[in-house]
Amino acid sequence: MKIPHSPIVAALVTAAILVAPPPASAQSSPLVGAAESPVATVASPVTMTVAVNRSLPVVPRGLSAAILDRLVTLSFANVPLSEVLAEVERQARLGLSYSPNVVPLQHRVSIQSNAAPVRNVLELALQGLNVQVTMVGNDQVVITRAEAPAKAVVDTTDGVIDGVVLDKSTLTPVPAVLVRLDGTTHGMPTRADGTFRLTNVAPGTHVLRATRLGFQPEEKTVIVQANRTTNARIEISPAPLRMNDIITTSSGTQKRLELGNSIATISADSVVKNAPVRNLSDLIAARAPGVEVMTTSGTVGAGSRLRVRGLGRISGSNDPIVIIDGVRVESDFSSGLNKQFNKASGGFSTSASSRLDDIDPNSIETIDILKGPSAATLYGSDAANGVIVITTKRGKAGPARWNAFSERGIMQMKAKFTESYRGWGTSAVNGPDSPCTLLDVAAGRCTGIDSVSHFNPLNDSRTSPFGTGTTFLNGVDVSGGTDHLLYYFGGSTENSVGVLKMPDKDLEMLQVRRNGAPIPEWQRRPNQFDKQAGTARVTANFGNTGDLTFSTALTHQSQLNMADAAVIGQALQGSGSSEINDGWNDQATSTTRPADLFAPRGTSDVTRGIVSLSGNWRPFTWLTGRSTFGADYADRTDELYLRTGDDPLALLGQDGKRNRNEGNTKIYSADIGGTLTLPVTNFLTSRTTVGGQYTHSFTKDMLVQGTGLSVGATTFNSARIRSMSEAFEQIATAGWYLEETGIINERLYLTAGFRRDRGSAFGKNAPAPIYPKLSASWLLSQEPFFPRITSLSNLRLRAAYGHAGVQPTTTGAIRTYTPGTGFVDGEQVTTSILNSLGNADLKPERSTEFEGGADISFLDDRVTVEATYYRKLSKDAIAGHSPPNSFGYPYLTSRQENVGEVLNTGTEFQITAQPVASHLVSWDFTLNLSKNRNELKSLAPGMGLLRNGQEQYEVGYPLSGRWERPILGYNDANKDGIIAPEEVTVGDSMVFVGQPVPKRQASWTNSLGFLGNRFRVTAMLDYQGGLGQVDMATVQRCYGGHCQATVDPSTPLDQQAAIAALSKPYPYNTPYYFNQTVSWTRLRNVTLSYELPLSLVSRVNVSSARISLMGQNLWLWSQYSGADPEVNTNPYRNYIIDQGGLPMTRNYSVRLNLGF
Amino acid sequence: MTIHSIRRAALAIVATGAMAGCSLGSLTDVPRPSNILDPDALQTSDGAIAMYNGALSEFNRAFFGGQQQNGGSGVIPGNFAMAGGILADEYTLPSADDIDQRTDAAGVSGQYTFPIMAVAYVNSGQAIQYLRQYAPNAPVAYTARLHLNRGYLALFMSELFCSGVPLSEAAEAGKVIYGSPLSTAELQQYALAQFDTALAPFGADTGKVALAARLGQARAYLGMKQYDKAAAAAGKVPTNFSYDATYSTNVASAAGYFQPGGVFAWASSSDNEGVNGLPYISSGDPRVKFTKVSNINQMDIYQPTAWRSSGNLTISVENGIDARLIEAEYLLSQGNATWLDKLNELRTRVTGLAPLTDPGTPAARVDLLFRERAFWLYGTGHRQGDLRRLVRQYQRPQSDVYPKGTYKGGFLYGTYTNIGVGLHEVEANANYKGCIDREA
Repeated sequence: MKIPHSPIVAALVTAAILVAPPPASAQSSPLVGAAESPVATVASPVTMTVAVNRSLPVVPRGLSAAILDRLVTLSFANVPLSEVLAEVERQARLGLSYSPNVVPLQHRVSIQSNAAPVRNVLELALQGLNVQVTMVGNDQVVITRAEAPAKAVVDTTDGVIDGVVLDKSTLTPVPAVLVRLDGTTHGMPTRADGTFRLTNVAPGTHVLRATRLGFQPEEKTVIVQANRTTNARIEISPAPLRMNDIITTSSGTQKRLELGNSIATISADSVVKNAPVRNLSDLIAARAPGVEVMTTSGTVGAGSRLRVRGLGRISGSNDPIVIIDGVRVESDFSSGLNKQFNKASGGFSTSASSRLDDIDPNSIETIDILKGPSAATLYGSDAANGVIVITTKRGKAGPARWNAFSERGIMQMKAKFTESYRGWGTSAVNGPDSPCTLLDVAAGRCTGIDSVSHFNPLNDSRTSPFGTGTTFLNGVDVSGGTDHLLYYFGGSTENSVGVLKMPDKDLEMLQVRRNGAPIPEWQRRPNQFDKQAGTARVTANFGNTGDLTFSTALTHQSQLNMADAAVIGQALQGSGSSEINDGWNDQATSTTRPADLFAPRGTSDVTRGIVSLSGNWRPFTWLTGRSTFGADYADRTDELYLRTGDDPLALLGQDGKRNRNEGNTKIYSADIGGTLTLPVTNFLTSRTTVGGQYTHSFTKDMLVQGTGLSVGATTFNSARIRSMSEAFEQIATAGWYLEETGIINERLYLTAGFRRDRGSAFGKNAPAPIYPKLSASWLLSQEPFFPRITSLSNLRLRAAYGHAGVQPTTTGAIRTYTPGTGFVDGEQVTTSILNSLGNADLKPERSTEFEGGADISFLDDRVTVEATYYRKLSKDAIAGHSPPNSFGYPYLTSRQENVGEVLNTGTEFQITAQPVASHLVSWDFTLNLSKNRNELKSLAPGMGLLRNGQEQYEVGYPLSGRWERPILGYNDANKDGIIAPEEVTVGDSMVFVGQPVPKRQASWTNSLGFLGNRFRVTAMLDYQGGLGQVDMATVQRCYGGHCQATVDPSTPLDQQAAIAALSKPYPYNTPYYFNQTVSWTRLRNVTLSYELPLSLVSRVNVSSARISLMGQNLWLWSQYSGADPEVNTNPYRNYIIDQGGLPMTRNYSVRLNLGF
Repeated sequence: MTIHSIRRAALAIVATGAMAGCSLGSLTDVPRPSNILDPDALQTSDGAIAMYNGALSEFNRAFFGGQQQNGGSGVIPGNFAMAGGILADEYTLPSADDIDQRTDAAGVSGQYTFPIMAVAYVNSGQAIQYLRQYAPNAPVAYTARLHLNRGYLALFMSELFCSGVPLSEAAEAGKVIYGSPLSTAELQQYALAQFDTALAPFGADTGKVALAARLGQARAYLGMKQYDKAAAAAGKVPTNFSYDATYSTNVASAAGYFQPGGVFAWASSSDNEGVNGLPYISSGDPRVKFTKVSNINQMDIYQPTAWRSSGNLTISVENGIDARLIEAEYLLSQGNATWLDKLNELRTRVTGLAPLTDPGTPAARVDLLFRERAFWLYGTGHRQGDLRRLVRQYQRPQSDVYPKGTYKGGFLYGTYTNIGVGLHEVEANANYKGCIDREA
């Protein structure tokens, strides 16, 4: 038998079921009717089908009912039902169709009949199974799940279809399912109880099509008869659709389809298992359109700069805020007291760790990125740069499930560095065989260039400061629980040694210098990173009325990092010959090479703890309450130690030095809210959310410096000069909000709300700002009038408008003074000097954003497209405006002023598709595309240019753009074949040469699966375009005379001119030529993974095992002249610069994931 | 529960939220950061004294220099003594520099020097306000000294910068006053007024502030070509008096201001710079001694021996020797033959200096007088003002007094006799449009 899923049979079965007329006492719901009515034997002579109750199947009589009158003789005792049915089929010579999902074939029955009608035999055999038997044709009988009694026939010549739509997985009614006659607009959405009624349906066979966003479309064939009501029961299955994602926002959790915003969601768990992810930056990078993650350096432990939808602020942080499990946490990488590793290093190190990367990526379940004010309005002040909402993993009911992973990897420096050149000639002062440049020749200091040598110690294995780095990652977690108590515990460790390594030659040199004393490991490998993280989350469920969750995350990490930029700089300005100082710079005050550069020991230790207690209370179905209380504590200690005698170069100004920078940040936050959901009418539901949030941060920072240490001393007591500075600040923000959402027919969501805020940085007399929001999400394809379009599965339109604020700095409005010490008349005195002029008229900054877009899915959701346009305008943008020099700037702090408007506009697309989906082969990909235009829209009169060297703010141009004086031309006036600085013409006015964030971004992640995804290949391409980068490492190299163009007489004149311009007198010395608008594509990662057969791993009590080979930063396509366009040695500011930071390393690793 | 009662509950929730919102301010009252002081904290006698000390400290910094902005290492030529000497013939740089070369087409060369003087000026004004209001019983010399320093700052500004220098003020109640450009003459008048104010409480006193104020008057009159009044003011100052600026490498905050080891990593005392320069080094004059410290770009770097790299250093802002020189200049202007005696009396104070003889012509006498001034006052910020006076008061062409001819890298010396206050002033101060007169 039995082809229950055959479309033909299914259609016939369905048709047969649906032609049944209703009983006189039919109820409105066929389901309810079926469940609650007593035995319903209908005696109508025209009835072909009867409804049956759970205890007694009823078979039809009448036309063709003779089949059921055929006689069968059976004698079975405690046999499977399947045997009985088979025998009935055989003896009665009829076809029985049924689904094993409906008919429990293993149900055991006993039956004795002697020439009894089939009707009676089936009644007996199927008794109590809630099924019904239907005649279809002369020899076919189908057994289906019992339907409700048919309802009264509407008095019309057309027929009526009454039906219900159920969730197939739960058999609960599904409202708002659009049910209509296929190919027409005749239809209606299901009611709150899942029922629907279609009237005026022409007699005949129809296909009902049921669609709802979040469910897979379902079709059902019905036969409608004139003046009769046909019952239909449709079961639909939930679809794994993005729009069904649960998004966490300030007003609680909501489905994506209810929100008017584009929210980027990253499923962290699956990413971490299938890609090389060491930190949160890796997790976010290139996985969300409009979100830029710029890795600053290839050193291990280095943080990344994060920007969402471009730059919105002229001054202050452009970093988004971060919420973990409802708790506001420290994450700012760009500004503030407790952020900068290089404070202790005195600028010697440029690769600080990021507080964002303290968070263990292995503990995260999802990351939702709210990109702008329209999405983040209810987060209020500080949310204008976006909000990153992180949800950590939670337990699921069931036995303990263990997961463990171990990863081993290596890192290699694959970047090729430009050679360092030196010209040799006869110097007027030093005689023959002296270093000479073309400019020396032009100026008469040398008679000519006799020969040119070139070498770069970075590229030669004998002198290279790069070795093979290693990384070890391990982790384990366990989760499980009961319906009452759920738990998740996890932990991970990382131990990485970066590629920086002291070359053997330098080791030997150092050992000689130190009389054979051993060289410590931290000096041999000066870049290392260790991290330990643990996460716990326990949830207690109190039935359906509430739950309480306690979660905590603890992290400790240590970074050892010094001299990454310096070591490259000293190589790029090298001697040009392996014979001279092994190619390292020999023209500085003293020689500078790894033996010297790795002398200072720079460390950064961070201990981090985040705890939260959150509860949900559901006293009624229409009322829910929630609250979260949490704290984040980040303690950071940075140290620089340089032993007296180890710094022959006086690199750090003085020999013997110790700096210690201790800082800690505590953030306490509370978030309380409640939601009231009430039906207003049959089609309108009201959801009202009220809540409040409070955040209070305390930041301490202390910098102690000792210079001129006694020989062998390590303590500050022994320092000749000691100084200390201390800072402490508190910032508090409190706000409450109200949000009202009208849900119309479960397909149109209209939301309005506002937040009222108060912040400690606001002026005391400033009114508390109110941030409004409006949004709409419309499931257009669910509307009855929407035409059926082949291949189109769903169409949602969305729009949102909202405001958010930015707090001024804590003291922006007031005049402040700096306490300190001074030396007056031969005595040390305590002093107070003007620090900031203050601005009594300072207003808070306010950002307004509109975004609109559409989510479209095709081919049964195998292709989805999210398209978004946004326009964000920041008014009263606060800028640290430099006061005139006549107030003493730059020796005063910038004065905060409301200077103008900043506009960001852009488009974002995310396309996910599964072009191939078979068991043998599957292919899916995600393509992210985004474009951003950033512009200073207006500037208040009288502000003039906001300048910080080459970083400028001009109306009509991007913020923090880089500006340079252009090279207008050159002329070899004296015909000596050399372009001297005075032969280069440089413009009087600066011109725009580049912007600090990319104009365009794209990422393309492809995943190929074979053999049911047992074998999987995943690769990600990452593209950024239109980024203004300045190759300052080359500028410094060429300015120092180490470029080929500075020593080689055959160098084309235009290249000579570019370099000669560097030596023009200030302010006409311009690196114009070295500013580049770069675009690059990086093969960010490739992963090959294989799921080991269960038959194999189960022998060792393992339930799953996947082994992965991963590569990271495997290839780079770029025209950039420097080593790596992604390097930024200025990570704390808006504009970027490459001063010779460590390029990205190429990493390979093997990872084993085990499940128990 | 009915819909009605549910609605009432909802309204109650909203009302609760609204009430909470009304009291948000109390939740966000937090202490101010501890690393800065707000005006409230300084509104005491001790606070006013601390501001007084801060203003004096800033004056020292204006003399000794400041650290490079933007967190850069090293020291910039951000002090008036160095900057004036670089423009004149006292210092030179191994690399091309627009001040050294006397080119300032963009008017930006004073971008570091001017603010370091301005911040001392503005802090002095703030300290005066606070002393008067919150420390009325503080010694009168405190306020007087601040006026004295303001006078010297204005005087040095008048000598170093092109005509049209704005003096801004941080006024009370958080307001600011953007300065309007003052001509060279106006600045001198202003300086004189500050010296008069400083001197007013002292009458005939011979205390430090009073003597320094009289010297200031003398300098101001000298700049105004009122030699008689200059000599009269100078005559009340003993030769051995000196009003000094001090710094110490043993006090971190002061040591950061100026590090000779850092400065003379990029600058050097000069010798016969640009044809007209004096042979400070090669003359072997015992009044100026130098130490060769390094070689940069094939140029030997000489550091004034007196500018020690560590410990305490005192350099005279103004002193009694200048008082005698001013008297000599007055006598010379009167054709009084004793002018040379004044010079020779001074030379007896240093072993190895032979008496001078009258060169015989008016021009040569002026040359001799100014040469004596140059050696006596080397490195104290006087030379620039003197060269400018030679042009303005003695009608010497600038090409006869300032360095000229071939500069480094194939460039030529320019023609400027002063520097601009910085382009940023044009951008940020609507009252300032640039130099109003670039003549000496």
